[in-house]
Amino acid sequence: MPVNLEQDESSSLVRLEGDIGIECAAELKELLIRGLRTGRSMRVSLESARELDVTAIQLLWAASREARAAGAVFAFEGPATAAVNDVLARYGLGELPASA
Amino acid sequence: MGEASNDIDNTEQFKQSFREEAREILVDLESALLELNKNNSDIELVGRIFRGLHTIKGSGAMFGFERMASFTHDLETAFDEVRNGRLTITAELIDLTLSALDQIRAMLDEGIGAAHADSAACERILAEVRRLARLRDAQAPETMAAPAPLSAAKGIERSWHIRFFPGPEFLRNGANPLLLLNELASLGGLSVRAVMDCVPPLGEMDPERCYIGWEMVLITSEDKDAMHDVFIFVEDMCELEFDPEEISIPSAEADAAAQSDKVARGLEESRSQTGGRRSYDKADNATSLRVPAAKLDQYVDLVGELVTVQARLSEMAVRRDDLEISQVSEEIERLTSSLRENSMNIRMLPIRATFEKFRRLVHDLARDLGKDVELTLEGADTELDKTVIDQLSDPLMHLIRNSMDHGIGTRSARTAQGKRGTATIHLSAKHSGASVLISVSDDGRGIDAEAVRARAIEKGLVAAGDPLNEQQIYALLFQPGFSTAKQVTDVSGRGVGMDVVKQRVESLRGMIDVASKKGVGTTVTLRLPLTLAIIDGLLVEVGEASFVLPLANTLECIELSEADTKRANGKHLVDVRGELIPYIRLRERFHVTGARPAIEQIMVVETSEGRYGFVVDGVVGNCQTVIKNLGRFYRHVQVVSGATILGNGTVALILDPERLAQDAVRDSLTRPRGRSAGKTSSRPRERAQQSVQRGTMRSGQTASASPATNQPI
Amino acid sequence: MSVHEITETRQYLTFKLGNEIFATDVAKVREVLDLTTITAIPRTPEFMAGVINLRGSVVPVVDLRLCFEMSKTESTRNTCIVVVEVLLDNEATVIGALADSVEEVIDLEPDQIQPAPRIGTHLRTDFIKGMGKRDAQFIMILDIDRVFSAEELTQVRGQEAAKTLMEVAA
Repeated sequence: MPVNLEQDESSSLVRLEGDIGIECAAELKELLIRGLRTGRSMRVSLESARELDVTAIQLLWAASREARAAGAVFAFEGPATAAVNDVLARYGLGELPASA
Repeated sequence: MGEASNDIDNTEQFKQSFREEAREILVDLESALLELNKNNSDIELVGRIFRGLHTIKGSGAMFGFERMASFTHDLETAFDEVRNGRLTITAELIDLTLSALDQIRAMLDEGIGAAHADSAACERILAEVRRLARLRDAQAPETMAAPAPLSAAKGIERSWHIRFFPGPEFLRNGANPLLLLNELASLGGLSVRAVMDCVPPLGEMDPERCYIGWEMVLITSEDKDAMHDVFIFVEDMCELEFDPEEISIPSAEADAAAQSDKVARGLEESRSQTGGRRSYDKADNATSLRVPAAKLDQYVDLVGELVTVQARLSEMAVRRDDLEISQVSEEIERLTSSLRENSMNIRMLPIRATFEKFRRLVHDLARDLGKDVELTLEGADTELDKTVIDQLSDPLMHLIRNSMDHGIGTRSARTAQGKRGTATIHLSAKHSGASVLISVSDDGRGIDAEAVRARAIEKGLVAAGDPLNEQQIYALLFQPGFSTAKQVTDVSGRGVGMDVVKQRVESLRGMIDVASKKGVGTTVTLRLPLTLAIIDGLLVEVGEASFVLPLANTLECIELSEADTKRANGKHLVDVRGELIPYIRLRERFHVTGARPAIEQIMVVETSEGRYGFVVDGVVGNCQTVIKNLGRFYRHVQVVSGATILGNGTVALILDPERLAQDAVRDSLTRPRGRSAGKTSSRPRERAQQSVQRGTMRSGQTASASPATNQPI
Repeated sequence: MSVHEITETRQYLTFKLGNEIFATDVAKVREVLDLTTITAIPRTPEFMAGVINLRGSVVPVVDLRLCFEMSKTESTRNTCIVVVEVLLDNEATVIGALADSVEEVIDLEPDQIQPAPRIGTHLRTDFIKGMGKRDAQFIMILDIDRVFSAEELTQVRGQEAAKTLMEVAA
């Protein structure tokens, strides 16, 4: 599965792998909601993510907005972050909140 | 995952729309190429071709037509070279590109039909294109003898504000906004800002819908069309605006700093304009829609029914003499009328696309037949009903093929006769009352009436001794199985075609006229009704019966008294402000029994036979009429073009003044003088052109009719 | 030819033209209407009675009596329009047929139907599929598709035209 969630009592880790497109958008949404519900901190691993499409970008953006509003930590990690940031810049989306 | 199949359908639907629009682009490309063939220094045409290819390539890749995209790539590059003045246009390049378009067309249909692009042919085309464009010669500028650059100065750069907001179905249809932005960036310097204001809380999100919009500034020397082309396949599904900025700057003067400054300023402005926007459930404001024709037909049918019911209401209001009902009825009448016009307008399309399509046909046929032919168009913007246009393509194709094959000779044969070496086929369309006239003319050798007659005798279509006039001979051309070609060619002469033309035109309630002069040329004119659905008419009475006369050709309404009739010595002529107009008394024509009223009404109608008066007992009034076909059973009836249902539920016939006039003219010729018109109806109803015969009729007139009193309608 | 085609029991709608009883396969009949206003089409053969408004559609009506060389249908209380769906040049077409009266729907076993005699019926036998018998009454079973087929109509029209010409000459 390109989208995974690992959780403990206080934090969630969402792993994105390969191409994240519209076909996993519904699933990503569910995982993000579940992740936000439990943790005080949420990390999104882009370790092996190749490409994010618009659906993924807007879900992640909304999730980060909600985490911030709730005073939670929301961060991206992994080497792909730079590449993803580059994509985001090209589409005028600014940068993702960096790893803490 | 029950959605999965739905998604696939959506994508397929989307592909289908891509196919349709790509086909339109191919048609445009074709005509641009053919024009370029004539005028190879037209830089606008080159730009148009480049853009078309670019769009097919870019959008093709986006919708999974990868093979098409990669095939188109080299062509696009070749035209980019032309655009930049590094490659000159040759007939060879144009022909190659034309055959490439055929392959692209086949690729479009792959997977939905039996069509398959010919891989070998594709390879051959690409190899040739590469050779011509020297694409594989890695930068060999000195070998290019610097052809005069087509684009002396690359266009003036200007900056554009672009707003792009994908609609709710955008992503589900398989479109990718990021690819579009990339493509836009390829046109010049692009600054992008995403508008996230519409992204709802996570829990409320439809994960497959695009909530992000973009505000952009593009600095480019391309025109608006080029930008528009980037979005051509998605424009129905998104909100899109292009606004040029006032000042334009020549690219040479635009240094990078000034540019980025401008972009920043531009974005700042657009930000302030859209601040506070937070309507993520805003409806999808599409600017245009593609609607299946069947839905449109259904709509028109419903409007038709509404018109019928409205007529009933109006009649009831008059009968009841109730002010309130009358007011409502009038209001509904007004609305129905606009609705009707509106629905008709939706169906009206210019015939241009159909005409343009034939440029290619003429080009290819001319090459195959070794003839030199030029196609000229006239009135391509004439609009007619979509149904009519759809049905016209085949008959026109047959007519053009026939002209090319039989009508037009080779260059040497033509010059030997002292004609211009290049032959002309002229396609024209124009309105004539409620009809549209579409004609195909050539300046070829004309129809050899004797050869046609001989052939018809040989084929057993007529007997050797049959007396036939010119029109009757021309009519033989449209008989099934008739063909005068001495040898069967690939183009026509297979004995099919012309009879198909006749069949199709008749099914549209149209007619065919042939005019030809030996050595000068032939013109075939198709007279077709403008629309097949609704017309404005005048409801008239003759005896017990009601008829509808189309209002479009009706000029005025005049009283005809017993005294007028007497003064004209029994001749069917009336003086309208000095002009003698022959009239046809429908009573007599239709064998209506009973006494006629002391004062009758003459409807003066413009026909191709000249002005004619149609005498009726009385005029009831204007009516909007839904044309109902009389069906197969009455398909031989010529003087009636259809029927309509009146407010009281009875059926009234819609008369065809054109045919009535022709009918009357023919009768007056074939019957000994002195007999009253309209006693018989039983001759075969072949059609003939009566321009000559009209003269005959007029010569029998005397100037003794008295002026009739005029009365406005 | 046609008798062999009738192999199963079928239901037939019977109606009268003059004193003769005719029948047509009920499967072909869409409905039976009371006589309504028929709009005549000028300059068409007399047997083509005209058109009616059938719930918004324009439907042609044929005077069957004239097809069988009887006199023109007179309008009476019992006159009906039998609306049938026939194949005209392979196209399903709805046509109304005038009948002096509609009788009933009957069952006829195939063995109750005989080929139409070539002579003795003073009717055009090519329109007749067969003859049934019921209570000593002969019933002509119409080949309704044929009655209205373009070919037959042309033929009738030809005769009609000839008649008109004679009238003119007289």
